Amino acid sequence: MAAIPGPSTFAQEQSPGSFETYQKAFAKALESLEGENEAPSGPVWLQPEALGEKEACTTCHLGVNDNRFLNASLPYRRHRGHYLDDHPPEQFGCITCHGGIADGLTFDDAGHPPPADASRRRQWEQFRGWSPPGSEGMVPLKWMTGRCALCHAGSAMPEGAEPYRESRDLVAEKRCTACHQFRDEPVLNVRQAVRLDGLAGKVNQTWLTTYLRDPSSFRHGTGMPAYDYPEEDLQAISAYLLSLADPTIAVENNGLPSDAETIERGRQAVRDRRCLTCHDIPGEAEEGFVLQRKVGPSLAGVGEKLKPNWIRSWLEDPHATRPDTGMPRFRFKDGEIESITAFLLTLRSDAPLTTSPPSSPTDPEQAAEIIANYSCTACHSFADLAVAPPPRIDMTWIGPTIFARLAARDTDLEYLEGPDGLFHQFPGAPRLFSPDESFDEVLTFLAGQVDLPIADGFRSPAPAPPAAYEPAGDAARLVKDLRCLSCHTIRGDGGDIGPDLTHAGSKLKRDWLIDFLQSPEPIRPMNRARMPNLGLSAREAETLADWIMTELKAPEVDESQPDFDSAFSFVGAARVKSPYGCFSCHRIGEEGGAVGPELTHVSRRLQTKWIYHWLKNPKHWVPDVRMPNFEMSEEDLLAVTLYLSEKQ
Amino acid sequence: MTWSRIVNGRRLAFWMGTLLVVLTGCGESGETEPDVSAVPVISDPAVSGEDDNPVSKSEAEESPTADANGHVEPEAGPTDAEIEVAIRHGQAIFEVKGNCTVCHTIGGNPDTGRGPDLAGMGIRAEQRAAKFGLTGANAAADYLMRTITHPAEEIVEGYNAMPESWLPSGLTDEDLRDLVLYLQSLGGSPDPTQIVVPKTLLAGKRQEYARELEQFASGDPARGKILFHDANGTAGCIKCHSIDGQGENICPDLSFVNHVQRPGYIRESIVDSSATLVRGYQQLMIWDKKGMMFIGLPKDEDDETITLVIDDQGTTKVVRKDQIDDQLLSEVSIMPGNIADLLSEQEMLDIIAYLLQHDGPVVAPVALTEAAPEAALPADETEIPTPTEVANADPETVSPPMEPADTETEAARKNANPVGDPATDEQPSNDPGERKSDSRSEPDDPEVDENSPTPAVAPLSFDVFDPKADAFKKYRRAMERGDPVIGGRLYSHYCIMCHGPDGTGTGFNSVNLDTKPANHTDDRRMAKTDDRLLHGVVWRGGTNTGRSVLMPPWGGTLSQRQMWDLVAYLRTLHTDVDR
Repeated sequence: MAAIPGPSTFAQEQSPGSFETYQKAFAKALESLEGENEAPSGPVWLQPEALGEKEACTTCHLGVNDNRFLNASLPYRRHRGHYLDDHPPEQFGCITCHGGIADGLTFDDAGHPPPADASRRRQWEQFRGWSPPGSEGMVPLKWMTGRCALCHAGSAMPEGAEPYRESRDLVAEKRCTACHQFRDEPVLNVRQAVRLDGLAGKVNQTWLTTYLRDPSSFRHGTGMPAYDYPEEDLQAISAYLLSLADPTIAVENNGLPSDAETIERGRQAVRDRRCLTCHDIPGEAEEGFVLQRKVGPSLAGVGEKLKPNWIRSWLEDPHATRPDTGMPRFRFKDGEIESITAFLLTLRSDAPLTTSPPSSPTDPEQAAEIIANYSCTACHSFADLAVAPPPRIDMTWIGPTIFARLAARDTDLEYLEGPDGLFHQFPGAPRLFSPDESFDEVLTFLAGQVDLPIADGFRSPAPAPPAAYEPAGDAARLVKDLRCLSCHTIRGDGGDIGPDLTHAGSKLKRDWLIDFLQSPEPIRPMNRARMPNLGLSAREAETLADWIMTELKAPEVDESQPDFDSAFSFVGAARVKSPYGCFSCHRIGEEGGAVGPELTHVSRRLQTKWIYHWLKNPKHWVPDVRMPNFEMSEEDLLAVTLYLSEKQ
Repeated sequence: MTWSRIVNGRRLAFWMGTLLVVLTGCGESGETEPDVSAVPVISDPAVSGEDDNPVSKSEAEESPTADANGHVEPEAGPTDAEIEVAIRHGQAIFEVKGNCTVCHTIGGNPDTGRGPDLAGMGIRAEQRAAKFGLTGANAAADYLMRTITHPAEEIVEGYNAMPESWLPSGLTDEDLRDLVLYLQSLGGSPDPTQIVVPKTLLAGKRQEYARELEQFASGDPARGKILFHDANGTAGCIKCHSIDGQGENICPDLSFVNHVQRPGYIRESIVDSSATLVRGYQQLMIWDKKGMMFIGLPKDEDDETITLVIDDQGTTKVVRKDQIDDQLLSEVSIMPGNIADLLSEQEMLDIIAYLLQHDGPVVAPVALTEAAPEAALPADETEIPTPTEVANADPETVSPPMEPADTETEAARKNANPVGDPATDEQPSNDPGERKSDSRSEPDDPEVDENSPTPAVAPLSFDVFDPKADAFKKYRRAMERGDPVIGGRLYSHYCIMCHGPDGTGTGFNSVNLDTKPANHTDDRRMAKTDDRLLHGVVWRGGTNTGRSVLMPPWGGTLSQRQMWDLVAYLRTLHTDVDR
């Protein structure tokens, strides 16, 4: 065997980054390994079915599907994780996910993306002849999950693609879709924002001008963009908006109490009604597990923003003001609305308000011009102005272009935020991100905006969204009035804050339901987010309970006949301790953890057959449940169920 | 527990006889000065002959005047009768005072003892002495002496190092001599003239031991007892260990620990329970050909089957050998690794003080005020050269754990050598574990000084295998089968309530758990835990793997691949892994 030159000679002898260099080193490494030891020499071509184009990637990435090269360095290293198990290279190839240039045979020609730091960049340039790739360059790994969207779409994203799913949520939240058209749109929830009407009775002028200047100072992460308005435009817009009056709401404060005692009662009412489940309220915090994302807006600064009478009329019936709101209509007691209003008026935001002189009213024509200029109608509608929303810009191809421009610079931030960066190069472009926000999510999403001819059969279609659930009978009006589906899901439709109610009729007991609906006590000790206290009357609670008990059934639970005669509850009592260790998560009496629901009185709440079926396989009922499936024997299953069913 | 009571009764008799050397309450009354020279030598034939009668023995010991004068002094040419007496004294030391029977048997089952069976030791000593390079007429006797006084030097293959139990047992030089004589008599020919006790050296060891006791003097045994016996408390030792007939038999019985082990060892066992695994308490993991996993303490083995005790109820599982796909002896103790984190320093001292006290106080063999014997060491003409003398003083070296210093060196090495290929830093930064380990071990690229006006660019390496990535091989299985990125997501959904978002075992629910959740950032422990054991605990839960019942099994919820993803993620939480 001829002596193979050492690493440093490799780099000098060969042209920088050419495949021969790597193949020689690989051949040398193979000699020291057991198993098949045939080293390839010359270009290795792969013809994957998904794109149909020949690829030369494995010419250098020689150990990519070989476990022996798990801890080798790049380019010899085996692919990380088990992506290749699901995506065999001969079917999917490399470019489908990574991008890059299919027939590149040197390091530079393959379109490798820039490394994370500048010193590596210099190293690459010097020793591998790397130069920034064009629009056919590879996607940097940290944003790569966006490429999953080329084949996977909708809610059926595979495990591991969570960063993409999160980026998609962000894009929906920022309402990018109001002006731009993207791939994977069905789940982006393109929706209209607030209809702007009656603002004269709703917001304060000082707040409005401050907010228009910089919306994120009032609400961090808001979808409302900031523009660099000229002062006269700002004045004109705010004057126009404040001219939109709602005759049903009195503009002036007519004697609302604002004494300390009322405010304190208001604060207590906000706690009792569990407003914190949906709204962040500064200064109000509860122990326990805090929801990351709340359904309602933060209430910080509402005291500066809103006028007292508007808050009052909102609390009385939010649906009259905004029919599409997710907020339920609470049944407040006498005086409660006044005290809550007094409390909310004390809430201030961190950012100081900047005062502006009141301006003269704007005439609608001038207003329409300004509104069209700033594309407000992309998100808002106005009562008396007919301004068409702007056409949406096609962004379904934009990914590679953006990455090519990013690669040409040292850092992504410079490109995005610098003087001629992405968010500043178009005159009048909105600013949507505050400086402390990360662009990683946006770039992950954009990585999926590629126009690639994926072969048929490789795209997994987005599942059809579930049909909207419409309850029937007496309860229908109540379910709508209470906006149950803001938090609960029924047959695939609804929110994910509360438990799925699809099978609640086979799960819960009617008496417990009636009590719970009238005064909901937390079921899980760890939860801060919990059922709001809606103030239902006994009759309303019964109506709802009857609807749940008859409509929301799981026939397989009701029709099953577990044989409890052969079981002993004392056996169950022992099994709960060992071997199942239920106490690590559940509290029974004084003992136990705080993750799952308390079981001290569990049979008041749950039907016996439900307990049996739940224990049998919790995952069947709630796919991402944290309760493990203990795979109990039938005997234990019956015994534990029997034991729990005696917990009155 | 009649046996233990008998032994205690017998020991009590000894204490009454040797009251002079007893340091009462080693933790409390520091300044007792027992006089070594006043130790009575029990060599009265009447006493030794009625060895199993405590009353007569203690009576005899009250008159220690019939002492060592002539009986066993080699120069005086002992008679056969005197040798016989000395051997019986040695036997009494072996069975009672020296606590040798805690681990050793004579003619017992060689497979079950913690230490080797000593039948025929008199003959074997000669062979082993040769094996250990001892020569001369006294070689066999020297060998026997050294196995007792310097046990770490002579570790019989397959066993743990013997503790220096002659120190806490309070054996005198005469006791040692008679003990060796007794061992010689087991199949060999006892000859007192061969036995030379290296007195000065032993005095040095005794003083060192007294200093060690001194360090633990501030513990309160009463508080320690409460901590030990409170099953719902922080320590809850009694849930697994037994002591004086109380408690569970999952872990070694601690009734005799104070007369067998030095306090430093007890402390180490609490801080790093995996440093020394007691023989017979090492878990065996077996995978059968169907892919099922069994973990338990090996109880019995014949040509066709292995029997495992798989839970604390003593349930056994018989595995046929022809069904075994793979098996592995666990290097990690079943004792929770985070006990020391949960206890304050004082609580730990209290528990140690309780263990040192509970079965009669341990003996401080030498007064601290005595002249330091170290200076005399080289001059001791009877001394056998002991190159590992210094090492012996440190119980940790008996079975060295991964020293913190090593970990530091490792981290430093990692910093000094970025992974061979530049492209490695392209790892997705959306990986939470990745980011964490990056920030911990590779804070910056050390090759290039950013402030330097003309930065030197280090050439690229074209090595296929980075020789420094060896640590990685250890966790090959996890890396091969699992994806840490996906594992991290699963961890934050299923595990963080108890194990905490950072993996330290301090999730919000951990306050409600009697046995605290494992700390996955404990480098030493995690490095010893095999990938397959981690996977097995996730899969089968604590009950089926000799761990806490509070850890549920996830095999019914997660797929095999997801569980391997979790293991791969766990590997990113501790620093030993080089990735």
